[in-house]
Amino acid sequence: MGFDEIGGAVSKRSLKIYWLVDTSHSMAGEKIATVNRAIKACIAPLRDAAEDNHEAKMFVRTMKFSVGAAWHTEETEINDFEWYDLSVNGYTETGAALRLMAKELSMEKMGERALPPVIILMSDGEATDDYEGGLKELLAERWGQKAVRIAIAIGEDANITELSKFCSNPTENPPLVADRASELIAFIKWASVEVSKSVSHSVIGTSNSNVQLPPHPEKQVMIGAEDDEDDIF
Amino acid sequence: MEGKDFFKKWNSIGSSVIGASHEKRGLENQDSVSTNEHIIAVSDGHGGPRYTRSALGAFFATTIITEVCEDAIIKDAEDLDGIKHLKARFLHLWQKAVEVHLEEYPEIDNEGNEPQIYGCTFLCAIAYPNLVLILTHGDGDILGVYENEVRDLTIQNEKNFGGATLSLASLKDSSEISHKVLVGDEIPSLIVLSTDGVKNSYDDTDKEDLAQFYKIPLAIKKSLEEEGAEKAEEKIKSLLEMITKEGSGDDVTIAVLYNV
Repeated sequence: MGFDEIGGAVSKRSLKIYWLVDTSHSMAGEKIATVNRAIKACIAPLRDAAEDNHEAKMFVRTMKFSVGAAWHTEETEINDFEWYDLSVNGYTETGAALRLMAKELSMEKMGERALPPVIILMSDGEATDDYEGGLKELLAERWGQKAVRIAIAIGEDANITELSKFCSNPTENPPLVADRASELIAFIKWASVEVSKSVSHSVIGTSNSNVQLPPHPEKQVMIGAEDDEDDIF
Repeated sequence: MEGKDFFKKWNSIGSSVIGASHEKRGLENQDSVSTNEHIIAVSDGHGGPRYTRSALGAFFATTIITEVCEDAIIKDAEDLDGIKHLKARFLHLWQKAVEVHLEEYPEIDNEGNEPQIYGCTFLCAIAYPNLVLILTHGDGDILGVYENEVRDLTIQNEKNFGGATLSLASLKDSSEISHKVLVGDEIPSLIVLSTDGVKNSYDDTDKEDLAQFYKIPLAIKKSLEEEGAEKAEEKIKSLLEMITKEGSGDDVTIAVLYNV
């Protein structure tokens, strides 16, 4: 074994971003249209962020949940990613979504070297299935615990208590509450683009979180909120 | 073999290369390496916006642990007092170095937790007449070569996972520094210490890819045997340059202690 025989296997680490979208009936109309618009709007800035990130390859994947949960898009490198609009039907089986997410985060699939995945959960209601059981399965995975888990509550009917339990650091980063379209777009962009820029840095293991998140976007959005004329959810 | 004759058997080489991504951003190499015959040490400064002086923290770590180990003799695997004293002296001197530096160059923009800006990990291997002592705190890897077999000697800790690592900067009690004593047949002919940027460049969900990482010590051994230390060190540097460019993008460092 010499040096000439080593090296071909070297590759960059993976940075994975997951969008988990509530597609229940109550999301019909402006809510789901805004989510579709927002994720589409994230693609270009995510590609720019990936271009600037020389330490990792960025992948994105979307899950929809209503009656059960299913992957809406395959895991795709951001440069090859295309968006297909989501439509709505049925209930809010968030527990099923968290179970499906847990399977994706197994050590076998993720390995140990990956960067902490970013999981963005968006919902306008509360789970109609076993949410606690799903969350327990997610947190039983080592990467489930270490993932950057961000929740976005869409409108005033979202169950904040439930979504708080999902968040990786609910004290410092509680669910983002979007009452209007402009806020929802800003929150999805922040959670996807800005957070993805933060996950490459090591932090001391005894701190509250394994990733130092950028400043919470709520105040920035609220400053201009009174001038917004967009729809209120 | 006993005393000074024993130490003559051991030699060391090492190299550290700035991360490809750090170079593009105009940053410095935040890893540090020290090789001193029978003592090797590597340290990885955490980097990022929170740890602005981690390169210096890493330099303090490798320099101080080498000095402390030079002055200390661990008699045998049962010499727990000796190991305890060595750990305590190292941590005390590292904290003192940080304190003195902070006094001289105060950090203005901080949140009242200044030592954290010097945050870094460290790994160290020391050959004594009857044993090899390994000391670690934080992530990074330790591999040993036994004839033509490579064994992973890394001391695992759940806290070194998922973007987080243990750090000298948050260490309050020196007994939390991990150690391993190798005696008799447990002593490898060659030990490789590497910062996490090296292993992070190999996809561990693919067994064949990961196997390449574990072949590095064998390649070093072969080069040492056939080409000598200088050439082996050059080849390690070239390997590290390729690894950071094609792989993790992180600062990458390897130190080797050998008696081949």
